[in-house]
Amino acid sequence: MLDEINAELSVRLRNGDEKAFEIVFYSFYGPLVNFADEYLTDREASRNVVQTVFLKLWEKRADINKDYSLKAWLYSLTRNECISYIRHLKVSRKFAEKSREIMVRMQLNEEALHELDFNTIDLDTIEKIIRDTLETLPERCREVFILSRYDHLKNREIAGQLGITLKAVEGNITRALKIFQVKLKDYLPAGFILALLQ
Amino acid sequence: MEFEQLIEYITGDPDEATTTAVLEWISASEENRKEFYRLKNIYALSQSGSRVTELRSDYFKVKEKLDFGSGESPVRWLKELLKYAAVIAFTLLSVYFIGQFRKNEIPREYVSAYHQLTVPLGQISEFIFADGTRVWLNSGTTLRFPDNPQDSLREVFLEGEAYFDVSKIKKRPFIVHTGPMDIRVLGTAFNVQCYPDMDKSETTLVEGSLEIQNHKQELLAMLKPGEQLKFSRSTLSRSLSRVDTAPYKAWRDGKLIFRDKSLGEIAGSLERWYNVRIIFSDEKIKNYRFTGTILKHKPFDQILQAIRLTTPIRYQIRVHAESSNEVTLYSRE
Repeated sequence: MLDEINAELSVRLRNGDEKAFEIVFYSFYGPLVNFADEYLTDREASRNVVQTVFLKLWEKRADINKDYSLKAWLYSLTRNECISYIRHLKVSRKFAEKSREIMVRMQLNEEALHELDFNTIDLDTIEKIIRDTLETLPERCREVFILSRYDHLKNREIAGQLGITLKAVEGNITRALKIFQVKLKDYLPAGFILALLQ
Repeated sequence: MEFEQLIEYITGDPDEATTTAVLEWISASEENRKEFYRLKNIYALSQSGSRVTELRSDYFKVKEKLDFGSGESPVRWLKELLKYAAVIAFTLLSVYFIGQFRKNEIPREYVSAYHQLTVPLGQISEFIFADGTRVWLNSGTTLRFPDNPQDSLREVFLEGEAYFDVSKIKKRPFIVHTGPMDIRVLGTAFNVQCYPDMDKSETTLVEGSLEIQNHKQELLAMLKPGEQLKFSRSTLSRSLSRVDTAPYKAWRDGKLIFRDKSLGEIAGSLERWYNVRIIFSDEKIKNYRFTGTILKHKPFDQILQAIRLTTPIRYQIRVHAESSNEVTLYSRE
């Protein structure tokens, strides 16, 4: 069914159907902004980047292929926009004023983005593995991870809400990520080479 | 460097010592560097949800910049599309956009246009109505509702199993029509199982209150939380009992809980969940009783193995390309 919806939306989009665009926007805008924000750590910049992504989606709608995942395409566009945003940032005055720590972090984030190739990464499978793995985590660990990653609470807020120490929150997130690191080994392999789309 | 520090660097506000340690580690080798990228990406992709408060205003920002022509009416094609709507288990794209529309009070026609949701065998889906009522549909279930709901009445037609969490609206009862009877509620949570191929239907009330009527609108029963009404199509007999409601809620999360149920009773659920046909070569084995929890994502083999280990029952699987696979259960004795 999802495939059918995807195919139908793709065809509609390609034909310039405004409602299809609206549905895609409302479905993916939030997740994409959150995704971009992981790398840009700037909410407003992330929103601008994803708005550009949707403008491009509309401009390039003639290239939409109904057999290709719309989601992968959107993530791929977002990734490219984030990379180009960081590149511009690096040569801007605004950036020069930031601390060295932030500059290094942005640099690393840009490099991490280069490692993400949505042509080869199966997003749905990764999401499924994460969901399934969450089920197997100890109660507290799962609770902390969901509040952090799904509800987007800060570690401090989670500690307050659950009445546990900040250290315990961090410990639980670390624990979860350690497990994901192993489970996702085959899906996000370290060190595969990327074709840059720039 | 400790793994904890690496995570702290990726997820939070690291202190200077942590930052230094992590950056040193990253630059120590190419493998370390790649591992950092991978963790960072895993972390970024593991987030989900759509917490963007500016969703609607941002949409209009984008829309302003686009040259939308006059497209065809949205209602017709969405209606066509949703006719086939069988939303894949737990993957909530369609729920997602309908949910979004509801939250943002966007076109009502989306929500009132379609009329049938079908969930194939082996899958579960979740759906949100315009009034905020949520419904979870179990495998092999069809839910229909009118194109243009009346103002005074909310009604749906159910074949299969569904869990309803109905939003309370004064003077607008919510009615679930099932084969043998109608369930009438205001605001409440309950589970209904009424597969057309089963004689007995079960209505289990979790919270609130609920009335069950026959088609002549005569009152058959009023349920209190924790009560279950069983109704037989063939004999029209009914029985009311107190039950533990946990199993009737758990299937929504992909858990099938059995409390002292016979294999005969369980078979139907397993058939629908795993899209298999279960054949008993011996009526006697229907009487083995089970207590336990089955997780939906576990392969069916594993469940058969568990049955094999705890009982003298043996099985044989016949794989069909065109239809459901067949599992024949027989006794070793």
